[in-house]
Amino acid sequence: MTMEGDPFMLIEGMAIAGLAAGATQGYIYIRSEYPHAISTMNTAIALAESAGYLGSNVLGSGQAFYLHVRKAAGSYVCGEETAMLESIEGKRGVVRAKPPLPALEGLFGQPTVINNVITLASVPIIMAKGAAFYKDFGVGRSTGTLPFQISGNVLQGGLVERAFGLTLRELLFDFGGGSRSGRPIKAVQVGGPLGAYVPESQWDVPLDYEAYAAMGAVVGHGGIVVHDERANMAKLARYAMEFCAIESCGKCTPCRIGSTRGVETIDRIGTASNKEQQVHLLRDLCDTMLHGSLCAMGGMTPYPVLSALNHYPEDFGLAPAVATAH
Amino acid sequence: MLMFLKQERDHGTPARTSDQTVQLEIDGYSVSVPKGTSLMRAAVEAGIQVPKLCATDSLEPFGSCRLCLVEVEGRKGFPASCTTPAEAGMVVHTQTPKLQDLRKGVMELYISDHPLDCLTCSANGNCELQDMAGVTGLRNVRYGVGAQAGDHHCDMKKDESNPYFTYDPSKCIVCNRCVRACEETQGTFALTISGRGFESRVSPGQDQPFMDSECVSCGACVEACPTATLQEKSIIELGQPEHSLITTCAYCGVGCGFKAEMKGNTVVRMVPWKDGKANEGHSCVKGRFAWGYATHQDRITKPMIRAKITDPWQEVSWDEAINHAASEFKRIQAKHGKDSVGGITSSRCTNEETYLVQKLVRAAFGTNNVDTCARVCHSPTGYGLGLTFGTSAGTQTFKSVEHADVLLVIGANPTDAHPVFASRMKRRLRQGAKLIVADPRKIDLVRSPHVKAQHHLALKPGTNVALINSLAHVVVTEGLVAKDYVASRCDNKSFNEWCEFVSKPENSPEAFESVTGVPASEVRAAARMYAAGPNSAIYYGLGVTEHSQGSTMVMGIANLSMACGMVGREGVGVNPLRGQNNVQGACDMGSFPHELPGYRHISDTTTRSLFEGAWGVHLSPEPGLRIPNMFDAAMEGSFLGLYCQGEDIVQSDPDTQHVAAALSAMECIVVQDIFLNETAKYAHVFLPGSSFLEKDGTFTNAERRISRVRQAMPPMAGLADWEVTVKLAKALGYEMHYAHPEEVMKEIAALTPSFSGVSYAKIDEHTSLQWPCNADTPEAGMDIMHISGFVRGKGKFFPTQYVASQEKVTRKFPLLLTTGRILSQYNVGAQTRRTDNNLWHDEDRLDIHPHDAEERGIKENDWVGIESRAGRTVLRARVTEAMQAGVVYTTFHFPESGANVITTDASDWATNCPEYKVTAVQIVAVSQPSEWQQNYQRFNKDQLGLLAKAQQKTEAFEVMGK
Repeated sequence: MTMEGDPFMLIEGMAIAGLAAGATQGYIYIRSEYPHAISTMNTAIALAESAGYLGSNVLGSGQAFYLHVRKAAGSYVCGEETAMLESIEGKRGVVRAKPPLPALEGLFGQPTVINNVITLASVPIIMAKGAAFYKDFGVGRSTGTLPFQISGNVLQGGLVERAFGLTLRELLFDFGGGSRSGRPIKAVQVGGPLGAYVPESQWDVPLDYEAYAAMGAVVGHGGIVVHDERANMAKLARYAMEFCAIESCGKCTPCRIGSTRGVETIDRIGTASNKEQQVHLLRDLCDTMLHGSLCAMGGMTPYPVLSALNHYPEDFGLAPAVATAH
Repeated sequence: MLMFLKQERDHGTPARTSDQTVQLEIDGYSVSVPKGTSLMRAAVEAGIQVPKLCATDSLEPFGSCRLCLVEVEGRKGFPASCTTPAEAGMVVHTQTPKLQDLRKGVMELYISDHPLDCLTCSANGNCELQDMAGVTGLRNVRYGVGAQAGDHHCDMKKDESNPYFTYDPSKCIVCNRCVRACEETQGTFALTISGRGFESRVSPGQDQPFMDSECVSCGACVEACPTATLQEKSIIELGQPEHSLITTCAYCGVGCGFKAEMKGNTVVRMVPWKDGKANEGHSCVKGRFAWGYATHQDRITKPMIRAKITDPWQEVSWDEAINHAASEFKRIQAKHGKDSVGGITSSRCTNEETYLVQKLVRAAFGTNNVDTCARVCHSPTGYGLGLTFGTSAGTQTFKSVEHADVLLVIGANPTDAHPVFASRMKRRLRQGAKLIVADPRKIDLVRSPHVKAQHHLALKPGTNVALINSLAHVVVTEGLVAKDYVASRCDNKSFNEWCEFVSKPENSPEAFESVTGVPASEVRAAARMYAAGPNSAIYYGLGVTEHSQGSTMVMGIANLSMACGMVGREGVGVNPLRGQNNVQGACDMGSFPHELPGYRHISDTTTRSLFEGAWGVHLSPEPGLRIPNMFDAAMEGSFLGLYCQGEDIVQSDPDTQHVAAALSAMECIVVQDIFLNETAKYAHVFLPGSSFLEKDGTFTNAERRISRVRQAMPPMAGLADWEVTVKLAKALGYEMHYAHPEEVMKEIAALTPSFSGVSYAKIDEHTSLQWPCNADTPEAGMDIMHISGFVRGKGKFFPTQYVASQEKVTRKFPLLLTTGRILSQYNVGAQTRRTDNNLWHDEDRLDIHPHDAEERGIKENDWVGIESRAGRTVLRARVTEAMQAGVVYTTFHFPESGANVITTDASDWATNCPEYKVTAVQIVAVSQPSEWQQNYQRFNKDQLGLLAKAQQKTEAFEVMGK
């Protein structure tokens, strides 16, 4: 929405970042599913270039900075910074091992700064109004604002930009107006498809990175997906593994094989007679993926799986005591 | 891992060099490593093996298998030890209960998608996956295995399309080692991973069978594979080897070190040797796989004689054959004089064998009529570099290319002819070095994956000297000369004369544009690039030497390199890419008629008396006949006997009909070879030779590197080649006393100053030596030549006037033919044609530009007649834009092709090296083989019949005897 609604905010932020870092080339990597963002950005870049904000001599500074839009194919893992570098270079979207950190050896082997749109788009206002102004928003180390994306079974879905520190309950009810179905909300996935399911007991924890991390969840990019009481959390856990299996780049073993085995193991929990052994295996698998994966794709898939298993064991056909005994 | 099969230690990641070292603690051991070294390698240095699958020390770390995770105190998580550099003060733990759990978890996943057929698997005993299952203590696969688990690859079909190895995707663990080896080690980029996630699988080309892909079968992927996924067919058939020995490849002049893995006397596979300095663990399809010829059924293992070449062969004892040969030589010499016989040494044989053949000719025959096949390849190199620098050899090591910034490749096609060095070059080019290619053809280097020449100087064949002069013109007239270098290291008088010469307007790129066909602007840009360096290296091949001005061109190259200060340090130099495994050695060993070992002229009294003293004979001070002179003398009736060891002059020398006529005019031709080659079909005595696997000795490669050849199996015919020469000398009345080739090398070292430090013991110690190797050089000899000054003193310049080749296009012969070789076949093909390499190249083709083809109504695969002033032959056409219009090309690997029926007697003015690279021809569409080919077919059939008769007779006797 930033790119479609206010592309110059991003261009300005990137130009400033480019000048600050001494970079001459900037790339905006946009999935092909967002054709409007792509065309708007291209037009905006052309306008900015003709106005001298981009190009060989940015605003007479003597420094060059060019911006390019790179259209991304439908790959989730290419949002991982090193897989994105590979993709921009025209290669398979496979995660690179770090080090070397991209800041030292990134795109085409050059030092590369990689940030989200939200980070770069925040640069102009920080420059204009000062760091203190920006820091006044938010709590603890989570400063500034985040556009939360409320979706799923919610009465009023959409984007809500708020400073960090409000609670999930506030978002769900003050902004979202509760569930669309009118039934009680059972679980909320926060932070994207690899975010944990947050049960009602945790809805009053402030939305900041540290507080969420402390309870084994993630704020991530602020995606909020609401499920009412009809949701089967075992199915959603299976979906998380399946998502990882579909989107895995296939480089590291825990993610490549583990995600497929995860789907199969969850299926077996539903049908096998040795349910408890299968749950034990699923937990071991999650541990291998969490600690052994090369990037956050495999490393975070256990979040939705384990949170579903820990908070909603009955959906796996387990007595509550079995799952939480871990 | 089989304990009795000695394995080299795998450090996991490549060595790093750095001025700084870092000290850290791993599992309580303190270890210091160069900055940039991985934790995995540092652990190996400390004596600790971290479990691993995707890492191997020939490839950059990848970090995918997740078995090598470690814990670092004060850091979160479990970093992969292969991708994490060691830092000062780190405290690392490679074995903790948590790590054991994680590794076991990863192994459990691997094995859930891997067939459990270890006992019958071809990798049994040599499988890293098996090793790691053991190391991680995996006892149970709770997911189940294969179909039990769910999704799996265990029933995927094998790709058996490659003749030498299979690809079994069911065993693939997607470690990417093969893909990375194809990219990093070989530089072909034929492999990738297709699919993503669980579907990921190795894919040659675009999910094609290996044989249909761009794969060049170098074997790097097979070598890198930790499982049975990519496996040699020989291992599948024969099982794992039980012992191994280190030897040197017998194909091209790169001289790769190989580990011959054996079961008793049977070679199971040849594995490129990691410590071999020429190849550092890499190989090509020939050395790695095409060794089956050594035990091919066509091997002749019994000596044979016959009175006339129309007689059937008769199998006889060694003594009978040798005594017959000796008596014939004596008879001829008694009648026609000492100089009526001669010998040809082999660039395929060892230094020791070559030395003995020239010794036999000089001491036992008493003539200097000895020559070698370097006559037809790199004799101009010896001549040109000897005059300018003072040494008849290349200046660098292969490894030196890692420091080159600009590579100038002239008349060489390393991808096909020196593939292992080509891989090194490509690695350097991918790192950003610049490339200039001077070649009439668009060779692979001009444009290949991640390699692109900045300048392709697509000159017309035969105009090398015009090109080198115009490059020099730019350097001199644009003030690009390295003045201080020239002033301090070169002969100033000759430099000034040369400057004056190349500065002349007629040597400018503009003046020569119409001659070479290369735009002047390209020449100027290339000259500036070469002169700018900072390190520029010239690599050249037979496209330089095999011309009527071959020696002139070599001197032109030397001039240019000296003028730009590009000789005498890492990353620069003049590097002839020698054609054959021991062509350098054959030249070093005194194979030329005018030179004793060590390039000392036969007319030099001091040298001659040294050898006279050692050999106990009188030596003639007059140079003997060169090979083409031998042919001419035979035609005149004054040269009637020839001892030819391991060279097929009928197929490889130019103007085949002239060669055949000359041989037909001789009275006694003794051929020593492993096969009945084309020359043997004109022979009267056949002495069965021994392959490189059947004897001890040394080869010297293009880097002047002397490496050991070690006997892996007994000689099939009972005697190694050196023993045969000793016996022949004795029968001629000249005793040679050697119990082992090592004693021959002792004699060479004692008589040759540049070899005085060479011994087998020292080679064993250093893996190889580079001559000069003596008291004035480092222990292992000189890696880079001319460091503090040129061997001859001051580097000398020579004016190099361009003289057009006599082979000019005319109305009758409007095209220029040039010849060369292809990756899968080797020279006359005697070896490679007897292997499955024929699957890549089973006939010689005529390459022709689409324009020339269309003009003549020739389409792809059409039969075309090729006619020169020397002869006529017929080949099938391949229409390709790799050719420039006006130039056609063919290889000469198949005798029936008659490529050398076309080539003429034109040769280098100084050394008689034939002008293979320029022949004026006409091409026409035809419907039947040429007259020569029809005659050849008849002759060949007759000769094979005469061979069969001998063999049948023996078989019949053997049957009766039983």
